[in-house]
Amino acid sequence: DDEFEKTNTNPNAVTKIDPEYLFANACLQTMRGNGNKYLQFPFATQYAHIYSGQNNSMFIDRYYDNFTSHEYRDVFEGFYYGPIRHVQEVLRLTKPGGDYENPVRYAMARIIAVMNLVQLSDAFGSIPYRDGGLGQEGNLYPEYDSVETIYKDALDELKNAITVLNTASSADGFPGADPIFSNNLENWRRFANSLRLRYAMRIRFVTEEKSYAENIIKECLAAPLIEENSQNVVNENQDSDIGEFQNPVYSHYDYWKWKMSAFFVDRLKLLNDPRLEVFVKPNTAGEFVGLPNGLSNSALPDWDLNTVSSPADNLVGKAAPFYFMSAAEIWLLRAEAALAGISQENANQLYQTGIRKSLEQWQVDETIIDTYLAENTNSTLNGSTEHRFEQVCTQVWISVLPNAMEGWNTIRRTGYPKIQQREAPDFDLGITNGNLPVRLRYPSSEVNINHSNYLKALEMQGEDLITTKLWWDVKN
Amino acid sequence: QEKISLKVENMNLENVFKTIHEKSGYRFFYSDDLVDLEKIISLDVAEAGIEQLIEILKTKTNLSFRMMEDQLIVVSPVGEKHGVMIKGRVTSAREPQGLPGVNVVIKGTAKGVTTGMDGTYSIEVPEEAVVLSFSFIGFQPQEIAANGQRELNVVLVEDIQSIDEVVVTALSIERDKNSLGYSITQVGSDEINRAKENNPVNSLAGKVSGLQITKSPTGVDGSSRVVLRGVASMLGNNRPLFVIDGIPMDAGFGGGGRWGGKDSGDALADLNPEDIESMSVLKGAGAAAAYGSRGANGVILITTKKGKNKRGIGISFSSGYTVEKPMVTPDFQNEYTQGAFGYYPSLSGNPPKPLADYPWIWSYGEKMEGQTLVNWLGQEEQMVPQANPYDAFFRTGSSFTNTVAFDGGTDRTTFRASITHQDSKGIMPNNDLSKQTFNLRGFSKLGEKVEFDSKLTYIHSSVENRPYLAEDGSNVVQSLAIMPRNITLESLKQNTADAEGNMLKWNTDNTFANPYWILQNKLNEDEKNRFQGMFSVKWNATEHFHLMVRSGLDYTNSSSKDYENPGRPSIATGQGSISKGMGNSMEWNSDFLGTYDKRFNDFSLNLSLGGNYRYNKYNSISQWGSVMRVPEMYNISNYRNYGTSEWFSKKQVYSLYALGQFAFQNYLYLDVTARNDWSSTLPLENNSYFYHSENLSFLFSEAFKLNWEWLTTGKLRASFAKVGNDTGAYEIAQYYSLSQTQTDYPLASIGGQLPHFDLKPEETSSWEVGTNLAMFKNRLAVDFTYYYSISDNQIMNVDLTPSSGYSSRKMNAGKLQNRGVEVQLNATPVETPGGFSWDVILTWSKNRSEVMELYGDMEFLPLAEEFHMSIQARPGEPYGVIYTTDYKRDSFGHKLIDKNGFAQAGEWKAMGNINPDWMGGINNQFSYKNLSLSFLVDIQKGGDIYSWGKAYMGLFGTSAETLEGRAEWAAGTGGFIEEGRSESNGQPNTIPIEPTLRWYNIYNKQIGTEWIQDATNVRLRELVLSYNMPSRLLAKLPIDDVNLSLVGRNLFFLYRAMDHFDPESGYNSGNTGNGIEHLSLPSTSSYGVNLKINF
Repeated sequence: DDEFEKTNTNPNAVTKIDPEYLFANACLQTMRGNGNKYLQFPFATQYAHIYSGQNNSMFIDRYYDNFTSHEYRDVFEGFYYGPIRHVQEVLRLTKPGGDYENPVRYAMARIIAVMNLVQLSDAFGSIPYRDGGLGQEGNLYPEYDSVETIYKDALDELKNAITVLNTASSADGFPGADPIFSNNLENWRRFANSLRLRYAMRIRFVTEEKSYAENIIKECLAAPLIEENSQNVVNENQDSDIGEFQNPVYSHYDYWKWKMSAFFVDRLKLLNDPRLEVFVKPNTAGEFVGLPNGLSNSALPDWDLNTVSSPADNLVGKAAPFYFMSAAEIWLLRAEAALAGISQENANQLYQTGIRKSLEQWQVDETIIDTYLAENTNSTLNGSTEHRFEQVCTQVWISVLPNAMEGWNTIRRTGYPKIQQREAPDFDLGITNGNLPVRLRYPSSEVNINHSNYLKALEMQGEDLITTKLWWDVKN
Repeated sequence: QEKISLKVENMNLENVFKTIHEKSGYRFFYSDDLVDLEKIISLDVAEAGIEQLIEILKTKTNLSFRMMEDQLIVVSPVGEKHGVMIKGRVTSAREPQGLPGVNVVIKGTAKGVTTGMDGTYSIEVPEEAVVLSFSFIGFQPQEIAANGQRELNVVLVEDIQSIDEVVVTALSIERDKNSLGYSITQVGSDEINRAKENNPVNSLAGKVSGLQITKSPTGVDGSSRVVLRGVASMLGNNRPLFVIDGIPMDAGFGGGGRWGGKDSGDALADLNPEDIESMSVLKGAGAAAAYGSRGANGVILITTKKGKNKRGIGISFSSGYTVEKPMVTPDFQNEYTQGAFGYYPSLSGNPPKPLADYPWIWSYGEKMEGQTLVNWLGQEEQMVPQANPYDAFFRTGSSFTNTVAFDGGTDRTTFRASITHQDSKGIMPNNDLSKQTFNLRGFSKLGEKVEFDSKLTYIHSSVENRPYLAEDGSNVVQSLAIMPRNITLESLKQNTADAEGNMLKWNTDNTFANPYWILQNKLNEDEKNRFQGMFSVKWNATEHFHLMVRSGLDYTNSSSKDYENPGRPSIATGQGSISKGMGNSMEWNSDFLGTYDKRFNDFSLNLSLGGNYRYNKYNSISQWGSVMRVPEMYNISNYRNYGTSEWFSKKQVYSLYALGQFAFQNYLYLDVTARNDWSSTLPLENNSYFYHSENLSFLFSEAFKLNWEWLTTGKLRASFAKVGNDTGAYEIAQYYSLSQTQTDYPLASIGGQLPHFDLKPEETSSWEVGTNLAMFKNRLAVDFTYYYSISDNQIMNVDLTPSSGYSSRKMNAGKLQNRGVEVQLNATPVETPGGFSWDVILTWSKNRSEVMELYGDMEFLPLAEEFHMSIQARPGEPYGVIYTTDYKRDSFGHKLIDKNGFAQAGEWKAMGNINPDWMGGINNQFSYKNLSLSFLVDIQKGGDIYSWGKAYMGLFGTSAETLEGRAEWAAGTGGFIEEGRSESNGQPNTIPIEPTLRWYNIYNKQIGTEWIQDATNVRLRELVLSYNMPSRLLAKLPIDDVNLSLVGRNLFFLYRAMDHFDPESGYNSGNTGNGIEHLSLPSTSSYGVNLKINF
């Protein structure tokens, strides 16, 4: 028996490990992993009308939904097998009573868990949130939680994490293995609080939750938020031949080769936005031309795709960073809160700060920034409250890039920027009759194996269609 | 004459004779029945001649002695009439030197002798008017009346029907086939070598009922899918176990995946057909239970040739040359150019070229009528139809094999040594194989009681440029199949790269490359060194007890290299890449087997006790690099980005087994086996598992003494077996691995597979019943079997729901049953005294599988996937059902067509089944004197294959069927009209659609109906014309035997239901490898000539 045990001891791996190394992996997978990558590209970038599909693989852009065995699954599995599996393991090891019990590490891991699960929920709606990713603990058929449960729990979790971090010593964090903030707990607190603000803003239009959401927004505004670009949640990349230091979208783009969306290019042109050149590569004639999303087969051949602009290196280049959350977004959300009367801050000032932070984030020349803010009518909130609201939402939509998921979220949450219903024959109407899809369908693997929980989820949420709106998607 | 001195006291007669024999060389020949050997005598003679000695013996016994030639003394009781000695030599056509071991019996008595090593015999018969009967296994018995002759030379004739009488069974035990309670088919060396395949297992196709062999068209060393009696393990290995001279050989499957890769072959190709004496196919678990778990899918036992005892050294030389050509190539349309919607692409860029993006790379352009257009290179060119690109692209493959074998020996020691060299060129222009096999076999009797057997085999093979498969961006076949019909192959060949070395191609999709660029720049090579060694010692301790101890090793060292030059328009690999691997695998088996056999009157038994220790070790290291710095240097140091990984595993299994055979008279036989294994891979508390089998054989023709004219022998048999199985190394604990990374901190990962801490061994139970009937003096033999097997508690990686965070878990789950019928008929319809004979072997089998259970409330288990389809296991359905989206249909099954004339997507449902309804083979052999002609027709009825090649060719407009409606659309008189009913009014659809959109529509809606193809086919698998040079022509030469044969394999289809491709077109040889076609190489026909000379 001893001999057998010795023979069956795996020399290729270990059975015990410091959770620090799992945490570092979870953080990197959150931003670099397949889940985020496949959700952003091709889904969110096309639904947010940043990119247009151009070739055979443009079904997603055309609002079709039959990808349950592949593209939807890639997203779903990308999250659960990547950051969620690994962060759940960190939680299991650091929780009270765990082999590596540590409340600070637990709190930090909780933030990573929440940011992944909520992002996944924003794509699919109900998902196994409390029970998800716990296969290690024997939970092989996790139950689904409603979007409402997910959001409320996430808001609580973040609050608890902030409370722990407020008094934590950084020595108890992840001093050697924090790829996001290098164990700067101050930044972690700001991030957790900003994430909480993002979530609270997301649900504020749900009638029954109005005061609940606004109270949380006020709590968030009273505590430190991300204010500077140095506090951004970002995955920096390098112009390196080493894959792990490259922008993961770089090689992904090689396959999909999206073009810039005409909607995006035209909107930035209309706004005279200096970020046009940041995001869009000019064509050979030096022009910025976008391709309309969802063209039909009969209309597409009228376009010479060689003259349409591709995404700039800032988005798809080897060294392009990936921003999960930036100061600009938070300033703009504060502007929105002010506009809605939740805070007493100066909405226009916040709005301009947001734009400035975004332009600075992309290293736009300071004089251009000053000129733009001083002279462009769009850089000042104007017109009706609704128009001002639209201005803020449009700026959020632009400034979150390359996190197009937040762009699509913004469109669904606020109705801005407004995506028109598509019409035949120039456009393929997909299976939504030309309406923007509002969620992804569950992958076939989940439907097959976790069948009864899947059915229960549909009872709560409605049919498993890309037209079924999420709980917080109530406006327009 | 020699003088003998002898002094013995109180010695029995038998020993006295022995003593005299030792001292003088004289042998005493007597019959035990007549001479009282226990009689005690004493002798004391000095310096006596043999005659004197005999005189003394006469006085001391009541015997008479007669001196014969060759120092032989015949002893008989005094008073008995003195017999007559008859002697002679028994030979056969194949053994003109003499056939050893033939039974020579005086008819009507039990008295007989056997022939010696040189085929000679001598027998004392009581009177001259006797009849001698000569019998030997595998030959028709002969009876010859002596009629006063003193020398009878006999030529025995081989008996085709009864050639299987003695078969090699589990643990290499030779058995009388009549005594077996299970189905077994043995194929001899002639049949294997008649139409030699590089992979000898392929020569079994169509010859063994219940055996399905599918060769993958994946290059010169491609693997073969081998399944006996259906798939039993849903996700596990279903290949039978291969055992060579008692030593199991690891024979994993090969092949690419859906997204590409290449077929690195399987170990079966390492078997050298020239060295094989016989292959025994043990089909069911009953036959194979002695091998334990690994025999659950049946066993193919391979016995290699031993040397023969003959005068001098025998040399045999055999040489074969074979050429190979594509057998089935797709039907291309040959009328329309690149483009879409009837238009040639517009031009863009500098210089202006046709748009290289979708849909303009399709072949839905203008009609080719000699008009001049700008081609993909930006040059003006006349548009004319192009020949089938397969014809020009592939070369004629060839294979040249030479073997020299030496054998020889004495009656104590034999040896055989052989060297084989094989050079093969595949039809892919740069795909070559070179292989050398050295084989040495020695057998020796040490003294009277010890036998020593040993074998050494060394195999070296190297293969260059195995083709890339399926959706791989380097699959050149895929590029050929979808290439616009106006583009000339020559233009691709002349323009592979621009001045900067970037690949030139007509499209922007990385999936489809310039095939000639790939041939020059995407290369691979691998090399394998395999060593197999075995020795065994057998001790015949007493007449009834034998002990065998054996140890055998199978060790493989392999290395591979796969590299690509810079130039591909791909970010990931476009700057040059390499991957290298090196691995060593070892399996070491040591076993012993003690056997006791005893006969009591009507009852005989044979009991064996054995044990086996198996040790497996595997280690590998691999490296990869990208971004090449200096051209043409494929060393890892020349790459900027690189990584490496390694793997190590080992496993041990201890086994003990017991076998018992009981026979009652000559008609009732019972075999039982019991085996227990202890495996290192299972949890300690569950690591022991037991299996057993019971097999019964009843020869009713003997039992009831049926003297029916038409029935020679009749047998009923039944078998039951239960076997278990373990798992791989390191699967019962959770591990963290470290990612190779250049970050400052280590990154730890948890694998996606959850371990099962409480794994149990899996169980397969099976039973079979059958009958063997030999009729009309063995002119017709029927072998019929019905079997049933059920595999439960299967150890598999069950897919978990993704939200559990883990993709799979090792667990005991799933239940799968198989049942089926196998029939084999051997007949000799015609046999004339003039030397003409016609033999037929017919095989037929049918297997039905049913998935009984999966795990939990899992609806289905995905087995394999391809675009828009999935092969699944679902409870209540056969294993391997093809699911895809059907057309939307009305209740009568008509397609429902929308208002624009398009078919629509309907239900996702079972649309096909990868399992054939039945399989059969008809093997005819006509022989006339030295000439024989044989052909094998191989039939598969039913079974479906999903043809993605057809889908791509439809989408891209290169296949013949895409022509439909194009002329009408161009003329404005119509278009493609989808057959079906209008969804709005229920009338037959009449709305024409643009033909480009017809296939695009199906593709876009992911409808798979059109791609499900019927795999039914009837092919001429093998045709052999063989000529044995008459021995009288050779009499003056030092040559014993010359055989020349012309061989064709896989020649043509008598019937094929599938469009464009051979149904044997998978890209791997795994469990569902026969269910998906995805533009592998075309299957090939081969024509060859084999010459064999024995000196």
